[in-house]
Amino acid sequence: MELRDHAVLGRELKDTFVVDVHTHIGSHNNYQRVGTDAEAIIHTMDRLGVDKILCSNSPGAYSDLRWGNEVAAKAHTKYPDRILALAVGSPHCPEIDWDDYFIRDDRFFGMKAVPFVQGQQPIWHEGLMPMYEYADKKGLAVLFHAWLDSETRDAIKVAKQFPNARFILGHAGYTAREAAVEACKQCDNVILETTFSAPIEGDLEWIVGKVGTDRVAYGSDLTAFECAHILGSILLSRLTDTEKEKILGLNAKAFFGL
Amino acid sequence: MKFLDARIQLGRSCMPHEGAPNTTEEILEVMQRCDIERAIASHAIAKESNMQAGNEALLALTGEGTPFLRQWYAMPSALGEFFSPEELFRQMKQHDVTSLRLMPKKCGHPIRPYVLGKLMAAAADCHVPVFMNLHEDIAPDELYDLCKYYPDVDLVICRVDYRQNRVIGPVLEQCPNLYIGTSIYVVHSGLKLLSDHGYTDRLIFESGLPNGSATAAVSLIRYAEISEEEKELIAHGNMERLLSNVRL
Ligand SMILES: [Zn+2]
Repeated sequence: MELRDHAVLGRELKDTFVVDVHTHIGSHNNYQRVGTDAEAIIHTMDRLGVDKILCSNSPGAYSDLRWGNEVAAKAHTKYPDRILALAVGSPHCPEIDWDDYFIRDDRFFGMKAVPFVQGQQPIWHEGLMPMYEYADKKGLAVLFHAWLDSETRDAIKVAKQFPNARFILGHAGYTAREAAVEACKQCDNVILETTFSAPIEGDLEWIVGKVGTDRVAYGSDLTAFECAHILGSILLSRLTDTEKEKILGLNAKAFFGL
Repeated sequence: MKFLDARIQLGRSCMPHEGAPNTTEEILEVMQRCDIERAIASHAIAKESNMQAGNEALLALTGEGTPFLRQWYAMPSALGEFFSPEELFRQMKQHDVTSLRLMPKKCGHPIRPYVLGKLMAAAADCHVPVFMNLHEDIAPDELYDLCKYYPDVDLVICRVDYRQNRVIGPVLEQCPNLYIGTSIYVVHSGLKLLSDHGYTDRLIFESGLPNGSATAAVSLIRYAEISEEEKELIAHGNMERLLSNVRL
């Protein structure tokens, strides 16, 4: 059975290692989100054959970080092999002692920065420097919301300044795709992630053609929205099965040492 | 599972997206890859600049021997700039055009009956479904009024995004003539949610090629946690039912 046949039949991937590097737990007032708790997420992962996810709390990013991060950590405790928690930072909370998350608490895998929803702040922000310095010191993964060209350009600056941290550019390859290509050229510590709620046919093949198969990783933004459309579009793309396997999980495995 | 795609655009766009399937041949290749057997097609020129020229250009690319069913763009015509409803539907019959698409926002006309009443009455008489894209053609908070102004017209609203449940929920409940295009309805478990609420018959598969993703749109349906019968309805059955009602 070829990989595309799974999407044709709507069947879960069984013998393919699949990592979703961009997911969220928790509901938010801004629109109706469905199946946002750990059990519903695991159910969806099982239905599609997703092995592991990198997961941050969504509502906490807009509000009380500690409350939100605790939700993600608890999900990890419940499903330690499946849900890897990302701790969300904020430009408004430079005082966070990251040892609380990564030394005194061992439930977190990496970090998430989405200053755009925290008062439309930029990624290159003084208040976020302690977070990046910590990630650099520990070689941690940091997921960026890199939707805008300006966010992606800022992410390049951060990735260059903090070369030991591992940066995921969320939503890369769509609205800011030229900048995302630039990020891959300039920074070895950057990987692009595939999420978009309204993708355009051929965008995946375009970005892979520009940056190579090793620099793109599957991500979905589950549960902010569905994950099956992006997974299926990878499976039904014009890429080879070897390329698809890299994007679905092997690149994340290598990049993060999973 | 085979698909009937309710929204494809043919013809050269003013701004082709690099990497997207921008020719008819490339669109056909994607359709084949996604098991899309047939598609309702309109023309880029009609959308982007001139309705009459685009509608005419569509004829050469569609119809017999192609997988494309014809859809024309239309606008109201009080002062004679577009076909009268009588003439429009006569020409539609002649050219086997079985659905219409409106762009109230772009064309600068309200959706209210004093403007669209005659055109919509003709669509209702012939059971011709009328399509629009959410946001681009009509605002979410106009949906309810649109459906209530024209209760006898089947209204297919495409590009309904994942943030619209609080609008489409009440409108689906109160307006049986609303149909939701699924291309970017990427609510997590969203098709199951609408199906659980009894709205399977109101969901229409559309990809939006070349400006949308067919590989993504078919995957939403194939991976949905609903029965095979429900998937078949969304993939093609519901749209076939609407088209089978057309009497030109
Ligand atoms: Zn996200």
